[in-house]
Amino acid sequence: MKNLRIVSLLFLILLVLILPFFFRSNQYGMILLTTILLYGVLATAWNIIGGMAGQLDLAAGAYLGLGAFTTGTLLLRFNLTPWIGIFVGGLVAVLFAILVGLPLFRFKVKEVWYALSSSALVEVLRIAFIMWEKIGGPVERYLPNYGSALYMRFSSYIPYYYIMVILLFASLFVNYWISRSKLGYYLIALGDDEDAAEVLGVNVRSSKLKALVIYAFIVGLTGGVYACIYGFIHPNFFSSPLSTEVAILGIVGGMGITYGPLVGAVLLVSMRELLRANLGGQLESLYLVIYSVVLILIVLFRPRGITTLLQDTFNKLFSRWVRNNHAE
Amino acid sequence: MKRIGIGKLIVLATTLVLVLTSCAAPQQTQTPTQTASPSATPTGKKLPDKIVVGCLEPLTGAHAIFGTEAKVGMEIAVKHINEAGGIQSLGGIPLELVSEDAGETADSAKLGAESIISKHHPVAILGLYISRMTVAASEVTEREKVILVADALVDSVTAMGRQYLFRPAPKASQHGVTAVEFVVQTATKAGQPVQKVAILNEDSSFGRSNAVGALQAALDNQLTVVYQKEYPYDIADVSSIVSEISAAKPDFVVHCPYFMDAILFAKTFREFNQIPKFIVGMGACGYTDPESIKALGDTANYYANTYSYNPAKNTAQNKKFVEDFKTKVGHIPTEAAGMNYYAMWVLKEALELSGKLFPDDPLNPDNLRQAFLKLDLTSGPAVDTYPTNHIAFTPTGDNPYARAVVMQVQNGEPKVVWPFDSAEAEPVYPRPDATY
Amino acid sequence: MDAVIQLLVNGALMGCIYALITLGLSLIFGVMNIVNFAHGDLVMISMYMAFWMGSYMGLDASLTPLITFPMLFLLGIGIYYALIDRTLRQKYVTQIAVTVGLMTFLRAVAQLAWKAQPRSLPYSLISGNFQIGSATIMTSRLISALVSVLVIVLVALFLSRTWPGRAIRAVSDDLDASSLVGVNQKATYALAFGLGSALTAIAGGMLMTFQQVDPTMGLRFGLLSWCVLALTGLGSISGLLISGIIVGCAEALAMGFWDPRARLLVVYLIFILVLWLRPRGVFGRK
Repeated sequence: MKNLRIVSLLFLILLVLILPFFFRSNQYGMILLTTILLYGVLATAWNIIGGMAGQLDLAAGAYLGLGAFTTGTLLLRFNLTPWIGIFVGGLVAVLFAILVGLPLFRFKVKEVWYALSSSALVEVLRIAFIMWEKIGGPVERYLPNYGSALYMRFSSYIPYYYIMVILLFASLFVNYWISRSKLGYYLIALGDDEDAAEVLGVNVRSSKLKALVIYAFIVGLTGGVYACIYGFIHPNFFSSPLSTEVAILGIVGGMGITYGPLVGAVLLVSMRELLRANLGGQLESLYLVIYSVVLILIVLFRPRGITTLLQDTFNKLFSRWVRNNHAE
Repeated sequence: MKRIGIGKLIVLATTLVLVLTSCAAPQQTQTPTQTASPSATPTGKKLPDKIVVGCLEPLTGAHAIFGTEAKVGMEIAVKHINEAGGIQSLGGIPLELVSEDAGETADSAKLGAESIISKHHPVAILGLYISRMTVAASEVTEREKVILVADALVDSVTAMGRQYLFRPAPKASQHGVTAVEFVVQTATKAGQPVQKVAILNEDSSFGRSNAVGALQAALDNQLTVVYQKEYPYDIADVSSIVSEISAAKPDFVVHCPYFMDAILFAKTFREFNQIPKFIVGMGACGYTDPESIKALGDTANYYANTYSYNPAKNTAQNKKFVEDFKTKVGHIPTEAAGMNYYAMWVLKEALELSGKLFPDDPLNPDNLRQAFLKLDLTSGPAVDTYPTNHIAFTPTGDNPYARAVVMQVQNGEPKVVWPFDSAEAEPVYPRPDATY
Repeated sequence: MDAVIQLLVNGALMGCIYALITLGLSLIFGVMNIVNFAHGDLVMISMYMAFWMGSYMGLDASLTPLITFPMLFLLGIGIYYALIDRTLRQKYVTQIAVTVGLMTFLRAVAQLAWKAQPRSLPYSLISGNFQIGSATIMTSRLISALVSVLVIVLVALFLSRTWPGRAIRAVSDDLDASSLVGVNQKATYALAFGLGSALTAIAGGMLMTFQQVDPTMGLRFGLLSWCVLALTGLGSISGLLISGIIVGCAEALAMGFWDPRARLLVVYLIFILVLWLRPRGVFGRK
């Protein structure tokens, strides 16, 4: 059993690593894979605060934008390579998360109000950066043209893909590691019932803050890469639709399941892209109607996440297989 | 929840593979260009049986207003070009338009560019409209060497150093300059010279570029800027801005609205009943768009706006376009539609030229780029629908002869009132309902 | 000084309309505890309905609520039975996901039905302006504000004086006890959701007297109405009006004295501060 687990994990890693070879000449396939993984990373990171700690965070765009702006500004102003810049970006996102998280958790802003206040934060940052002409401003700031590995501006998507793979496995690992650590038990306890957890001696505030900080760091890192993929920075990176989407991917995939949000990202992002590429040109917003109906149906009939459906199906098949083998 | 089961992992892996392969599947199909039948060219080199052109516009989301109209303009242009015999220098091959939605973000624009190129291998792509989407997508067109005929007017779009990007339409700061100069000239002509100007724009890069042009023109004309503000286009109420403007008492207002906010401003100006001598819009959209006029009713009267396309241009080609557009959509062409109609004709002329200059390989992107740079049009269908009578491109991709026209709503109809020599009506100045 | 008064007047009048928009949300969330992220988009739909009625029946925008009110009521009931009812036993997260889906759906349908171009009704009958002291007051805003106040009072009366209104309050106070005294819980929830949606019809009609509508209109009122609700706190109907006016005035002052771009910045900062310092709202009863 244990061997099988390691084998399948290796199989998965191998699969993700060799996937680009099927798409070598297909740039569209590669950017699609990269985009899916990008959302996968964001949703997996979100799982720490949203899934485990049960805090419905809608501020992914805030940390993403901070990471992007830090990386971009360091590159444009001080010619600092994004390979270092993204980590600084992650730290800036962490600082901001602490700054916001301390009062939020101190004053026990919870549930819907937590969701709404995090959503408002994204807008606050967007407006602040539009008005802050020195760093932001309404006009796009272009990063150097592609073709330079030092500036993390590759002319092919394959390096970006592997960066995303690294980020994805890192965030999956962090998820897995947290879920087995004391912090993970605390988070799950307080996600279920905050007051009960507090009575049992969980330090609710610091646990939540730790979750928020880890999440902000991963999203901030990703934000730096995001800026390099798209080649510019603009205050619209502080995007509330993106933030909501990240949370939706997590919810649809399955909150609290380590790889649930990844499954959600793979399914929903590729479904929407399929619909956009094939229907968007002719029927305009019809594809969004289809997309939203599917989304609603998934959430209504599988509120614990689409991953649970896959698990159930698999368990059924697996147990039948085991039974048959034993019968022989 | 706390344990990664093998089953779950395998399920995950299989879903990943299944979904990804199904996603990538569509582009495996070969495009018509690849399986082309030979058609005669002077040298006998095989050419495709049609030239694929991509339309990549924001067809959903916040910018769909522009993208959906632009697409109709392109469709009519392709129809007209094919009816007129296709690309004659290439033996009359027709154009084929393929469309995709570019969404409203940089990611969807980039995905759209990659997907339309890998699926259809277009010779050129028209569109994007929004500057940040143009930035993201032009990186792809540049790498793949696909000509991008951009309709994003923000000045910096042509300052990125893109080799395969061309923009026939006048850039945003040009609109700002036009708006100010129009009012200065009209006011002088009417014997009531202007002194004080208020500049107002929405807070995107487009609004900013317009305002920069207007500010420059105001300084050049020795005007005093008594009020200057930027506001977010999704503003819910503008009575505060309107009351502040009336307190500043400018002679005229130069305003770059996004689109729907122009309606809100016009209604609020009227209701507040503190109206300066003139209100002119600069930039693509706003006061004189047929949809705005329909939405505003008689409130739209006397508002003016710069326009990158001249729907009143008195040429047969233009009349045909206006007629066809009216039959299809129900109103005169909007700016987005007009810009892309002549952009398609400009592309057609470049293809013709490329066929003449490089008969061996006319569709080679570098040859086509050379053809664009060598274009010097002063007549023909492209010029017949263009605001000025001269189309050529600088190495950065801009047309140095591009100028915007100014339209004014008179009796519910948008009329071209500037430049004076190609106007269809006299501008009404000052506004009859001006209160100060 | 004149400028300040003018700004305050503009802000206060707009604030009353914000209060009316929030009233629907307050019924749905504050009373029934249903999280609805699509509230702004219901306002958008009712503005389109007002446009539709106004342009095809030649009605003035200010009169359209007479027809759109029942339409939105039915729509609300439909949404309740189709979506919301199934999420009641789930966590609030599920409700958020479903209503975000609904939001996308409504926007896409609006673009399919009415195209992306903004729509607006002819200059309304109730438009105009008059002077009070140094301030100019716009009639459409004033009448919209008065209608908002009136509707808020009527809804408060409905909740306290009538049987269905009391049923709504009973269900919200104590679910088990209310079913003991014979309140049909499901029907009451549906009634509250229907009423909450129908109230946006009045707001939509009043907004159409001076505004235009496009499919992304919901963005302008979604988070904003939650801000007003947070400021009010739950269960207080009269507090809505004060919070609405505070938000409206803050917005107008930010536009006048700082920068029009900072308008939502100020509102959202107030929102975040209120959540930190007064998590139960300023006027809340719970």
